[in-house]
Amino acid sequence: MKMPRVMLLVGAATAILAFATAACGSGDNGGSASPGPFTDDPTPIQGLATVAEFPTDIPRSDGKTLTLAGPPTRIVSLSPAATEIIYALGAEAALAAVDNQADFPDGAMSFSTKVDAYEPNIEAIAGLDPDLVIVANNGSGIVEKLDQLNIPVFYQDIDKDVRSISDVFGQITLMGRVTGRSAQATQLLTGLGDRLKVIQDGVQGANASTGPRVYHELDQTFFTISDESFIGDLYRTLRARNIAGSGGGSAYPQMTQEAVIASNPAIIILADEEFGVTVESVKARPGWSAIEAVQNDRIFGIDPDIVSRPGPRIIDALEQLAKLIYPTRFR
Amino acid sequence: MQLAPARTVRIAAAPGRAPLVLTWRRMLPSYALAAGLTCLVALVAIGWGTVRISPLTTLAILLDHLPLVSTGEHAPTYDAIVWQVRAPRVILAGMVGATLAFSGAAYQGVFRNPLAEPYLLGVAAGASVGATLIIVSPLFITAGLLSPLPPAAFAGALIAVGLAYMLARTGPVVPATSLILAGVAVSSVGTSVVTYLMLEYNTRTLAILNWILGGFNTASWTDAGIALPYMLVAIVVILPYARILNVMQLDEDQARQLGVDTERTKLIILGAASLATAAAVAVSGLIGFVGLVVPHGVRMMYGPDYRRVLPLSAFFGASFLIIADLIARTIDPTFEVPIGVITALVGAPFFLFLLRRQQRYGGARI
Amino acid sequence: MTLRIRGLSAGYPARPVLDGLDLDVARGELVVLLGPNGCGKTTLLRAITGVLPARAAAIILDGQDLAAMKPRRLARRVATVAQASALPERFTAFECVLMGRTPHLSLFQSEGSRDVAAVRAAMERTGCWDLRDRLADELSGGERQRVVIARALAQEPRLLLLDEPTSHLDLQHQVETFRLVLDLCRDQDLAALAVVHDVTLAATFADRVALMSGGRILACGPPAQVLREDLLRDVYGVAVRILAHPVTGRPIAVPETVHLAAPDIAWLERIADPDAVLEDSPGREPHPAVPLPDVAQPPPAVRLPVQANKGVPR
Repeated sequence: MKMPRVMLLVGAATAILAFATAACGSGDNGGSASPGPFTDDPTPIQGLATVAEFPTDIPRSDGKTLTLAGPPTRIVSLSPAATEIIYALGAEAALAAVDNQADFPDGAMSFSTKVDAYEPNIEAIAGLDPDLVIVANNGSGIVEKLDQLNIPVFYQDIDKDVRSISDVFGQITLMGRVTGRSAQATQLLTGLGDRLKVIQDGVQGANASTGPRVYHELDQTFFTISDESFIGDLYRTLRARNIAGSGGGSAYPQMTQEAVIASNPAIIILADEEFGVTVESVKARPGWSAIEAVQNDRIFGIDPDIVSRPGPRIIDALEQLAKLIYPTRFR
Repeated sequence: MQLAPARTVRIAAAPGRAPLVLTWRRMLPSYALAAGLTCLVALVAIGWGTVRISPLTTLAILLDHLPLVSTGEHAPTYDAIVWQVRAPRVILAGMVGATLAFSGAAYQGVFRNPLAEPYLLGVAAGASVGATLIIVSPLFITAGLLSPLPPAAFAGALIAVGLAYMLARTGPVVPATSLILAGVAVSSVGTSVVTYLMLEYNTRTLAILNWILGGFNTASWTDAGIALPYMLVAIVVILPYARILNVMQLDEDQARQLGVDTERTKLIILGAASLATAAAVAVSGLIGFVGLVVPHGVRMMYGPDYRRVLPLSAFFGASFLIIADLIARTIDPTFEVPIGVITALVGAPFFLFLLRRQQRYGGARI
Repeated sequence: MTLRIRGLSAGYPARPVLDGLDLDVARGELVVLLGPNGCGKTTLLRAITGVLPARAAAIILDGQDLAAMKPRRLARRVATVAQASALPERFTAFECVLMGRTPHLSLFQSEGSRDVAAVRAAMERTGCWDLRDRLADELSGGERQRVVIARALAQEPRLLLLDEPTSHLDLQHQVETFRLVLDLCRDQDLAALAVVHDVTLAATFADRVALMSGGRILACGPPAQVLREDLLRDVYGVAVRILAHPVTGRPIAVPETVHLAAPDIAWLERIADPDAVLEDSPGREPHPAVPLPDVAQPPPAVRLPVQANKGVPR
């Protein structure tokens, strides 16, 4: 029994990595590693590259560079978030396959060819004869395998390189360059930037150091998100205080139940309703009646896909959260 | 042919006092000491956590929840933390630690194998399959407070052990070696099933993993209530067999010739220990190292007599896991460290320390 | 008669190891079972203790049917000493002997003064009382065997079964062990049944010898009657010469002269030389099976005690 348990634990470690991918969708990043708080400065949007030029060099999360001679026409996307971006850019005709968790938009949901991004099958992927594979998490070592086969890889690690809304916007910019649709990317980002501006203006004057304490629950064992993740940046933008803070350096830390109760959140956001957690079940948890959010009925569910995928719908999530946290400011 | 005068007779002539026989009564003081220590550890653990609550307040809150005792008003948050979060967490950790160590000692005794541990016969893999099946099924979502996870894990564990037992059976006899092999085989199958399900239902992977890694972050009085009867049954059933377990340390033939019904003893002890382990796993996931290390530590410190090893394993197992869990939740005041990491980090060096100490004393009791 | 066995069959349905065996052992008597490997000697002992299920048997001890007895009851009457019995690690010799009291204790009982007294008596009788605080796994082979016999005595049995009790012991301990067993038979009115391979050892101590072959007793009686050259040759398939002990007149079995190749001294010297390169040996056949030590060193001089204060067994 020793062996199998060790195997389970090893598998566990791998899978935790993989989970981070699954939960956070996928994303890519233009190399802006600094997760710094998103400011009111809209430069990232105005400063977007507007020239779609090939050949183009895209930096990868592993330090290598992807060079594309022309826009790819057979893309295999192993990232639901990247898939969403590609659809938003109107580049879906270039997709050869999406991963089996891609469910948005409808076209991705019903896409005929799907591959497993969790345990990617290199043969299945190579068999699709792709001219670009999009990878958001390399827990399985797929990047190196693809490199060996000389298949171009767009590798932007969502844990390392996507830590803020501006990072998500950077991903959209990059995807525009890759697909030769920088103009559409600029257009998309302008729209998203405008909506972001509305939210930022709406929370103007709120004091970030006294803002409402929020607990964002990823699962019923109190895994949550920290300021290190791009979800944390949503709350930072809303001038709410995430009770997990910097998460001890982890983007997705597990809190002790005691710490959740002791930090007395004013709002609880449930991203784990698909695991059977409900507003009612949270209220019924032993000891949670002492929490402000429970006493004031401020427990809300949110679609985990929109909030956890670093794609265009991140602004939808931001708007939803804004309404939940500031019901009087946003309607 | 002439014979040498029997040297033996000369030796026998030497006068001597009989060594003390270990009886339950003679061992009571060591139990009382261990029990006291365990209670002390539990109290300290309940008084220690993210939120600083003074020992007096902690004690007052605890006493307040005893029947017929009132110690006045307490801040609701403190009351919730001490009574609803910390107390059940510490008690459950203690119960699970006691169960795992006690069952581990019993397994080691029955198999006469120092590497035996309570997961040997497939309890862990079976429970994982049971829990995983629930997690990937629609039941997982519709469940409210009364989660179907513990019963499913429990059933899975018992099915796995039963399967291993039946596979190992040859006629009326169940040889220990066959049992271990069957357990390993059943465990492997179970592990593959879990791995497959994890990959197949990859949206649920984290939930499965979380369950497997185990821990006490969500402990409640309900969990403690679920596990308690099984733990008590195992202790009540196995403890009287402690003396027989000593005899089982001879090989099975010798034990049988001393009138021990080895097959029945094996069945009863393994059955009870597996039952309790299954219950512990059902409420806490898979926590390694306790069932292996604690009985060894006890044996190294107090000798091989199972009348000492069994009860003291329970007490020290409880203390060990309470301390490990205390570390897991306080090493960073806000965030959890997986308890398996702590049990291994604390357990392994402690084990090595005992091993070295035993070697230095040439295998004598210390 | 203490032990009476009639028509005992045991083993596998296709290959019975014991085939309608009859045997009696009386109180105060040491009966030695002799016979080639695989003739069913150990099976017989295991069948008596019920470890191995016997078929169509009557195994009567003191008028009671052993086959129908629960293990614990049986263990109060029959004790077994196996060859080189393993003792558990880190238990003291005293605790090991105390385990002999197991059949006298119910599940919820602890050992009491009555048990300690029995253990002490057994250990003093077997001369291992001084070893009581030693760890069993640190005892020498001879000491360990005395502890095991003491454990058997602590069971307070009527019948003592010994399965090659001396096979791992040196000459001194072989003799001492059988001396002890024989004394126990006489003093405590025990019946003892021992499996032994050494024909001469059997002849020296046994009151009666039972010669087994093919699952049956071929002959049973005083050593001088049973240990005949023709019988032994039939049973063991090897020519044996029976001599008479110069003092006791008991039989001594020695192999008939066997043709042995003359030892190849040159080859022995070469394999003894660590620098020798054996690979260079040009296709040499392995040396014929000759007991090498006999060649390398002369047997030690036999030292017989000048005076023995106890008589040689009859």
